[in-house]
Amino acid sequence: MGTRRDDVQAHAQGERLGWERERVGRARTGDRRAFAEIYEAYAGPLYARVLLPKLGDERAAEDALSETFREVLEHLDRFEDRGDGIWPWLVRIGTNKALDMHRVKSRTGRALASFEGLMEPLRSAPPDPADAAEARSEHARVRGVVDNALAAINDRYRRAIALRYFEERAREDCAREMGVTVSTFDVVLLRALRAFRREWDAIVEAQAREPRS
Amino acid sequence: MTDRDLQTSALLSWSRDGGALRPDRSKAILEGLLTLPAPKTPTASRVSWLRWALSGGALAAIVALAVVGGPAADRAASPTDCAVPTPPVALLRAQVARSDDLAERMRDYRQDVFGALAGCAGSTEPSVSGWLAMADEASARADEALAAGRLDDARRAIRAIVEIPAPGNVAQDDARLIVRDAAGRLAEIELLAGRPADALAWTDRGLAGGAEHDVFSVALLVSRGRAKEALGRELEAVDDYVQAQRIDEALLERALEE
Repeated sequence: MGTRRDDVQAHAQGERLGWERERVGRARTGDRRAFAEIYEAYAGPLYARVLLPKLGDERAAEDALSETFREVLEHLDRFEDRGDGIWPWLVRIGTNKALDMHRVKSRTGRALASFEGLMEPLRSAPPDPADAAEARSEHARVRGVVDNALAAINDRYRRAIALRYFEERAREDCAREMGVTVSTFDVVLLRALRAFRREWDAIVEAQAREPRS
Repeated sequence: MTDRDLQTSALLSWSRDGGALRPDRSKAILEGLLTLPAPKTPTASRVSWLRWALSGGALAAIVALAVVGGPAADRAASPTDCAVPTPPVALLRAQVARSDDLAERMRDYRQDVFGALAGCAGSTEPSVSGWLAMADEASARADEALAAGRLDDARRAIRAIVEIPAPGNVAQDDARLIVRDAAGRLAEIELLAGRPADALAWTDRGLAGGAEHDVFSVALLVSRGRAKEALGRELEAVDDYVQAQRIDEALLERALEE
């Protein structure tokens, strides 16, 4: 028997699919506003939870997002609603775009690296664009492990990572802040990344061994 | 950095904000998408024409066809035929004098032209109003991009106008006028970008059917002269400037008589 939460979720999904079908119908007739609304509803989740984890590079993920919606615009007439809406179709197109980018990586010289595998053990369910709470929860789980891993490495490494990744400072700024040359900062950061990764792997492995409640 | 290091680096970046898409980037991507052709449900022959038109390499031919004839020229007389507003004297004086406010006056006149065409009989048909609205919006986006110095965005916006063939029921003169203006704007953008050869190509396409007696042809002639000058063809440039001046003076004379 379904719970009250299941009922609420089913109702919300039904409303979302109704909203979506109406816009897809209008977008198929050339209504740009309807297309823009579909984009605004799904671009963020597709970028954050599918494309960026598959590509690991913001610019590449933005390009893949643009290419995905370009294909949607051009081939919306081919979309077949199988009762679960447009999201699975978007994910499939986006995944293909990301794979294409990995295939041409050697030619374009782009530094792409999927980190989907690192997040996988922390995911409770496939990404759902309508479930903002689940997205926040996934982010919190990842951030929790990141914080634990950072707590386990030495202060200098932790500082280098915080400056570069959380404060998004330029390498020159980071080096000045730490009182070293830029090339020394680069070496410190590389070592920091490797120390962090050892701790991350250890924590995730330990969590995987714990019995699930 | 190894792939493993890149993975770690990307994970740390993602953990900062959960991979939030920056609003300015999201907006820029959407704007780029909105310059693309809308999903269409045309006839089979129209589909193949559209696919051919959007194949990139055929762009030059499209502009030439849209300007000098081809599929557009074969259209029956259209219900959207109606008077294009007379250019204001201030704009014509600005064109003759090449004054600083010329771009602004051209923009205002362009808006008047789009407004007039949108109000013409028959332009409420979805295919006609859709194409005119697309051209008007692309033009406005280009104005915004040019004001911000974003030449690439401006180029992308204007190219949508010349890449998307006008529906068959848009009056051929209206379509040619809009495409002529777009070709002139693309030439200006290429001149600003320091690419006179590309600018020359656009002006040649815009003027392929000969210069009409309108301000858009004047703009094309002046841009062609500037492109030729930049390419070291000063003597040829003079012919374009003289022709532009003649048209401008004739237009000014007529406007003053009115």
